[in-house]
Amino acid sequence: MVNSANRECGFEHEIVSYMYDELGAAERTQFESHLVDCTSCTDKFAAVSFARFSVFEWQKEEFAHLATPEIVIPYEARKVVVEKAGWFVGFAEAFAFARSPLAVSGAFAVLIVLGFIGFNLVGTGGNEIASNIVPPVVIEQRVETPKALNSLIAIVDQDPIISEEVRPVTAASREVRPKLARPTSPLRRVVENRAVPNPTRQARRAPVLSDLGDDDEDSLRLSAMFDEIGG
Amino acid sequence: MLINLPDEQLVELAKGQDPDAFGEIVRRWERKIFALCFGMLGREDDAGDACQEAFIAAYKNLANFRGEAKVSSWLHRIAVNQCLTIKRRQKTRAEDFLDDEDGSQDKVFVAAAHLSPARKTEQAERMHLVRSAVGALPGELREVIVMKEFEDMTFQEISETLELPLSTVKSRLYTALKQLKMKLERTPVEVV
Repeated sequence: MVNSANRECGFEHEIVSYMYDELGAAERTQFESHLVDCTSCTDKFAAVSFARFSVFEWQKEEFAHLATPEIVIPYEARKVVVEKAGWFVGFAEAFAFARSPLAVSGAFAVLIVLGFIGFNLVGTGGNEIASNIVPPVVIEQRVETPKALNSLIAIVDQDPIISEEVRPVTAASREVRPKLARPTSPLRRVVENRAVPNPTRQARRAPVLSDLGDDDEDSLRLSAMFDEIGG
Repeated sequence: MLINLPDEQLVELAKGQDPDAFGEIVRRWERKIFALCFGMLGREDDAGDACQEAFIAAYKNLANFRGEAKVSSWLHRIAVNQCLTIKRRQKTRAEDFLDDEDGSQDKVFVAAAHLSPARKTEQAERMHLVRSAVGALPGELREVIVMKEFEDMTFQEISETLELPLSTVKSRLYTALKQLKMKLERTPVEVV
C-alpha cells in the first residue's frame, strides 16, 4: 500500500473523471488498480464522493420529483394582438382626439371621399397637361430641315386619320418654332427617326378593320415624306 | 459516552467484543462510506449493498487493524475493495446477460424508505445545509456542479458550453466538491 498523503501521485486529476464514469476502459482499470494501493487517492475520492452524494441527494429530494414545467407560448393571442395593432389601430391613434370608433370610421369615410375627388381632379388635369406636351427634340430637328417639316405638317394637317388631339400639337409647334430655333447649331443629326410626330395614346390605338383602307394611304404618305427628307 | 470517543478507541473496544462500539463506528461512518460506494458504483442500490458488505468485512477484519493508518482510511480501502468486487461481479453478469447492456438502468432512483420523524428532520436539516453550502460556492464552481449533477452533462459538453478547456472543467469540479465537503463538515448534522 502506498501512503502518499503528502505527495502528488499523478492520479488526482482522474478522480472526478472516474467518479462520473468518463474514463476509457484502460484508464479506468489503471485508476482502479492505483486506488487499491493509494491511501491518499482513496481518501480524496471518499471526500469528493461525499460532497457529490450530498448534492445528488439534495437534487433528488428537492428537484427530481418536480415535473418539468410546461411552457406554453400563446402564439394565437400574440397573433390577435398583431392584428389589432394593424392599420385600423394606427388610424385610430392618428385620430386619437375622436373618442368613439364611430367617429373614427366617419373620419375615415370622409378621407376616402376626399381622396376620390382629389384623384379625379388630378386625373383630369393630367390629361390636359399630357395633351399639351410638345416633344422639344422634334422641334429642334425640324429647324434644320424646315422644308421637310413644313411638308410633314402639311401632311399631318390634311390627314383625316390622325386624331383631333394631334392637330393642336402641330399648330403649337409651328408657333413656338422661331423661339426655340437654333439655326447655328453645328449638330447634324439624322432626322428620319425623330421627325415623326409623337402620337398621343389615342393616335397609337390598335388598328380596327374599318381603318384598313386608310392605313395604306397613310403609309404611302409617310414614305413620300421620308423620300423628301432624304432628298 | 461512545459518541465522544475517537475512532481508534472505538475500534479497540470493538476488538474486545463490544457490539455497541462497532455500532457507533457504523453510525458515524455509514453515510460517508455509502457516498464513497455511490461514487464508485453510481447506483444507490449497488452502493447500499457495497456499504453493507464493507462494514461486515471491517467487522471480520477488526483484528487486522493495527492503527498504522486512520480508521477512516482503513474503512475507505475496505469499501473500495468491496466496490471493485461488485463491479467485477456485475461485469461477469453483464457478459452473461448481454440484453441488460442497454444502459437503461445506469442511474436508478431507489424509492425512499419510510423514515422516522427524527430521520426526516435530520434529512431536512441536511438538505438545508447542502443548499446553503452550494449557494456559498463561487459562481464559477457552482455552475460546474449544477451542470454536472442537475443537468447530467458530460465534461466535454460543459467544456463546450462554458468555452473552457476540459482540464479546467475537471479541475473546477474537483475544487468545488472539495470546498463543498469542507463546508458540509464544518457544520455536521447530528443524528437524533
